[in-house]
Amino acid sequence: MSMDFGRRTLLKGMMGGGAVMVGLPLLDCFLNTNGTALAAGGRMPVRFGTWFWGCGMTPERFVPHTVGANYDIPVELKAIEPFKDQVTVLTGFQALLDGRSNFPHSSGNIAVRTGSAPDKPGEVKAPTIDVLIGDVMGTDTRFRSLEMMATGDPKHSYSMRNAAVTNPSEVSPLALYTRIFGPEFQDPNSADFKPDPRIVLRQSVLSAIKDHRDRFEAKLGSADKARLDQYFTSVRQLEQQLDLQLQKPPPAEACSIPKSPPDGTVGTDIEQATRNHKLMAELLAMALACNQTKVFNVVFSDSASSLRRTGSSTNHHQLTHEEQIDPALGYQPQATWFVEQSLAAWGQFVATLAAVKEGDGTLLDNTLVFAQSDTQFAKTHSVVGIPVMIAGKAGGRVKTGIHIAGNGDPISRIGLTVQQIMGVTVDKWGTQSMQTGKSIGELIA
Amino acid sequence: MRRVIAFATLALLAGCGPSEPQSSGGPPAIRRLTEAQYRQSIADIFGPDIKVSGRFDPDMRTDGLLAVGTGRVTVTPSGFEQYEAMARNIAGQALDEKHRDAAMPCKPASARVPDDACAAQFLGRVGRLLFRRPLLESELKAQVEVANKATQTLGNFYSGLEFGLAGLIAAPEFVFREEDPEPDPAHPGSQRLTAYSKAQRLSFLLWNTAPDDELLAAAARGELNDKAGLARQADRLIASPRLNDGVRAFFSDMLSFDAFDDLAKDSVIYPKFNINVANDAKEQTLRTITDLLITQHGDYRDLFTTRKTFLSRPLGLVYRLPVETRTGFEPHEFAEGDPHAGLLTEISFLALHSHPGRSSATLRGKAVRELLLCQIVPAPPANVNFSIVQDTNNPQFKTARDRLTAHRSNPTCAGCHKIMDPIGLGLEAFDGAGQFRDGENGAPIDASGEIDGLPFKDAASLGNALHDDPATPACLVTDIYRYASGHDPVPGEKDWMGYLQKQFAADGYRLPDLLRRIAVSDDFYRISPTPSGKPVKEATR
Amino acid sequence: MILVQTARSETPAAHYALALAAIGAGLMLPAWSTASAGTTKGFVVTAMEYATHDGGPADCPGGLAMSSKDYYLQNLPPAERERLSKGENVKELFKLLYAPGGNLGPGKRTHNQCADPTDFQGPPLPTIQGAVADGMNLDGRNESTPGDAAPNTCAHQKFTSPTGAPGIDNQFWRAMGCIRGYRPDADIVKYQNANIPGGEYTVLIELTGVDDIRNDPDVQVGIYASPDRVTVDAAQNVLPDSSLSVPDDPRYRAVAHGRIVDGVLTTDPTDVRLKYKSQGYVDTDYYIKGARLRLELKPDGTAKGMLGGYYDVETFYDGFIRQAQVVTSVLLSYTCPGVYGALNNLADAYPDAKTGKCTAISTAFRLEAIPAFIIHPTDKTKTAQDTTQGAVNR
Repeated sequence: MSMDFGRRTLLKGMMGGGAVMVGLPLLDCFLNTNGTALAAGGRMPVRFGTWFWGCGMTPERFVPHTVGANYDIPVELKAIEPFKDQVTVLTGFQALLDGRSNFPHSSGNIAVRTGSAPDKPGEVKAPTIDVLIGDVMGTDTRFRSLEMMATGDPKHSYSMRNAAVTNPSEVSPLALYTRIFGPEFQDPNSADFKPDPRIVLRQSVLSAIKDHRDRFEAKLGSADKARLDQYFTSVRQLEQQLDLQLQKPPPAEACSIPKSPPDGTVGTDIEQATRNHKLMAELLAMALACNQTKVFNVVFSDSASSLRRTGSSTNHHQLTHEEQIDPALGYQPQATWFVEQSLAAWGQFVATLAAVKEGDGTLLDNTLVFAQSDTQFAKTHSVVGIPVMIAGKAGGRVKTGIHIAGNGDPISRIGLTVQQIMGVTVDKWGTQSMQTGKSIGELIA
Repeated sequence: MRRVIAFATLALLAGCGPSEPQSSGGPPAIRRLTEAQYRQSIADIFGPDIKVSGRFDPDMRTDGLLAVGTGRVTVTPSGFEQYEAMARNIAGQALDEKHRDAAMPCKPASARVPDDACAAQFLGRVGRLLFRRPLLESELKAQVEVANKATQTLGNFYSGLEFGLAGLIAAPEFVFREEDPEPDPAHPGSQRLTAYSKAQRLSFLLWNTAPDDELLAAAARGELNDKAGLARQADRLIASPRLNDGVRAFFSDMLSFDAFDDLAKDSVIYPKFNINVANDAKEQTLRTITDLLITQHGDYRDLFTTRKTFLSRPLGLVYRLPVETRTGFEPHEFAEGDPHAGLLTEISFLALHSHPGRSSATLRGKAVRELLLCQIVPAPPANVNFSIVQDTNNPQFKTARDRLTAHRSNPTCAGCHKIMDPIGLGLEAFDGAGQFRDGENGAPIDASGEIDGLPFKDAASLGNALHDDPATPACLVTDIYRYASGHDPVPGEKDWMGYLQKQFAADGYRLPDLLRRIAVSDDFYRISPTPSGKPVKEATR
Repeated sequence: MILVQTARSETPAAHYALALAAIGAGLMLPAWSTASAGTTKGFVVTAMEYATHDGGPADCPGGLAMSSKDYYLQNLPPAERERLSKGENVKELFKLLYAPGGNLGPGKRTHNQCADPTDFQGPPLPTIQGAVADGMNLDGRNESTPGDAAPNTCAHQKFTSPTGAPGIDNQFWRAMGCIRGYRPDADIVKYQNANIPGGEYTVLIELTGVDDIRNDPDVQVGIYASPDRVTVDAAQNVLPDSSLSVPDDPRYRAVAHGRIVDGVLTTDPTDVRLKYKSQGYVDTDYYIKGARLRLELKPDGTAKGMLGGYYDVETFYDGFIRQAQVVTSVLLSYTCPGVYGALNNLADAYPDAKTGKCTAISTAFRLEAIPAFIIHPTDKTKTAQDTTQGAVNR
């Protein structure tokens, strides 16, 4: 990934040497009086994120019966009913494994997020879609992306460039708060701005580190070179973040600095997870509104969902395999309870973004959230019909409020379409049977 | 007659047993420090009271060992954010008023303006320990410049010096262990590790930390390139109590103790199992291991039959034994005939390889195969219906053996399960928290079975079977070598691995002797620049 | 050499029979014939609360005790009383209560009604008027009348137990039972029980020399205040099988002789001192003179019963009332002079040699216990980290 220093410097010169933020969040003066668009005809910044929950759903209770607009709301979709017109549901797409093993709670998820199924457990053959989108969209904010997860394990992150480069998740709301709004936060709306001289000193440290690169280049084999490249890329990433901190950020009307959350516990208890998810969703919404990042990844429960009830023990994942299907109800009552809780959290997340007013709409209007699970029906690890939902209008670029039935099509069509919507120049995505060039027209506005 | 005696004497003088076979050596690695190694290095260099707080990018288990994964992982953007913040924080503590006098070899002419000479002295000295080799001129000059500029901006020598120091701690040369080859004058055409790279391998293997000042000095003097000098340093490290740290780090990796971070037990079914029990269970096993293998200089295979262990009060609760020591551990020996015998009956093994609310013969059997015997078990198919196996309340199938027997009759499953379940069923007398039980759901437990042709009747005799299985020590030798070198043995190292296996047996399966043999060997420091073929997985793992 | 086990039901005849058999077999006489070693059973107390009883309206016909605040307000003119009763004026009320001459007096432990109860006036404490209460018959009599009180006691009214047993001595309950905070299910018993899993205090009971857990005429019983806190599970229940040490300070180790009859242990009287701490409010001792234990030993290994004895009045007042200060008298609703007066008036044992006035007051605790390992210190070092020797009195 290259840094556009040249263009930036050029435009600096154009504006007479003043600090012009090009490619940065928009200056207030470029918006029309409604704050909706660039006076010259542009848009509010568009954000992208993923939202994940583990262990799927119960098809008979989740899949709407009607296709298209005004879809019906089956019982497991109740949580999104208030936002039905801002959510598109995609069912019936499948992860095609081309004869490879279906590694439980892994193959399906990796297929959805990378367009390729793993040959071995733990293998990740291509970057996940948020990384690809972040490469394009995430370069001009303080954080390239923010990852968080609600059941307490930083290793559970599905934002991966490859198996060895996984962006770890924040698990503590307090730690997330400190990272975003702690001592290094620059309030975009504050009148006075004094760049911290220590920032320049930190940059000089990083600059000296970068000088070590040549020595490694000269002596390493290709695999090791790639690893060190990633290290130096990470150094550059921090340099960019520091760069932004030297410049007065443009005002962000929807930005208001939240209060620090309490220092609570993290864990797999459903109440802990729900509480921590809510706190982190609220912090994330403000981080977006304050232009600290434009890309995010939220994991509510890990793919083999370890959610548990307070004081009880068997977790969601165990229940999906061990609980008998109740003959009268037709489903596993305990396991399904966790599905409902997970989807309730999704509803909470959507509501949190919708509650932030921005321009003449909401933050949700200017965001595209790509929500998915790792499987359709967890008891059988089925990867046919893995549920996906798109929430938010992405600044008008995506059609919401419809139910799209995949009819067995490769699920990579969704990832391809979403990347195109977010501005990644890609016309074909995925490998083998999941290689596709056919985007989903009904999604694109 | 005299000639025969002379030859015999010569043979004796030459040392008993065969000598090290020729070996190609393996590829050089560049390995990221594990969290434990990072912390220990900082503690060694700046003092144990320096607080290191931050979130590390997770270590990655590759081919069964985190140590091998260190050669695959890198540093993500948020990972580097943390490293940079930690580096500034550590530098701030190391040069604060409390610590600076001990840390600095000199005093600046003035505390308010740059003093390049003093900065260079300090950064050079500490940089050598951090980079595990002397800094290059250019490296030192660059850091002195950073410190100089920072001092000018901030008006304080020490505050400025912090930035110079932080740059060293965040640098890839600290975060990654480099291994550099050089031509080997004793074997023209062949390569060996440089002396500093040798020092690193030696120190991380034996103490799990960066080389200390004495080891670096020995490297500088060329002593590590001389057999006697190398042996001297190896013996110094092995004789030190810090050998415990190295051995503990190895076994924590080999036994997958990092999985304890994810371990959760049902608080209703196992109310006694809490975080203190989990932590003490790990500690118990590590103490059992170091006591037997280092302090007693014992036979590795006895780890699976020993009745000697250590107890703390939290463990006493679970074992239902009185423990006098209030905080900490005391030695305990189970009586002859007690079901507790060997590593497999310790809580760390039993509880880690179980489900939150019940035991698991399959998980335990798999763990024995993969962790202790270095044998691979294939992954299960995705569409398994587990409901019969998991139904612990089925009156027809009272014990796990019953439930799994019904399951093993399915030919698709039997292929893999027959190599796991019979082993794990031998441990069914211990529940999911490692507690001994007489029966399950009122039915008696039949803990008999066989492993690779060796029959056993209960957990203790299962331990004996492992003791007698040649795969057990063979697996340790392979794992130690992979841990030490960061890679699987390559085909050109096949003879060398065979030699290590044989010598381990000849040495009575004593770990310090194995470590020493590797530490003073030729192979350990021999580099084959282009690995001859792919690493040998089948034969040794 | 064969180890002969101690017979279950021991009679001298049985001893001799076995001894003869041993001699006859040409073996040495086992040591057990001279002293029974027996087994040890250790317990940790999981709940310990005053033996309260709800006797209905008969208990406190005149109403419950007033608190200092109530008393102060009661003596004010009506308009002022109403004003100061309002929530927004509570600060002012307390300021007045603490002012010199005010009911509570200035500062902690300086001259105030709780620190110096005899210097202050207050309403007398209403006491239990009902006839039924829980506790033990400590003096062995069904009645205690003037001129005919048991030795070392003072004449006093007795209760009938809730199960109809006569002669119950619980003057402490009589004195304190009409205080809201001391009633059944109120603050005090809740704290007493919660403070054990809370780790504030730990009580151990150890039976040694037990040859037959159902019937044994001769066992030794230790009651100890352990310095170690109990271990609890996720639901705050105390866990069994933990190792807990006896205290170094011999004052907190009480030993008595006892016997087990049909699974119920009873002990001879002995003085017992146990630590009691409560969340920063009090840090004192339960000092119970002539204490005896009655414990039902259940087949599942747990135990349930009662500890009865005489509170030394001054020690109790000093630790629980004076130390808890005036604020507690307001929270739990009593007046300190009232309590002090009631305890002294109703004291029923250990008469002062000079005045003849009784100095201790009968009381009782209900308790429950589960198995634990009681650790006695050995001569060798055994404090923190890594002792290499460990010995346990099993």
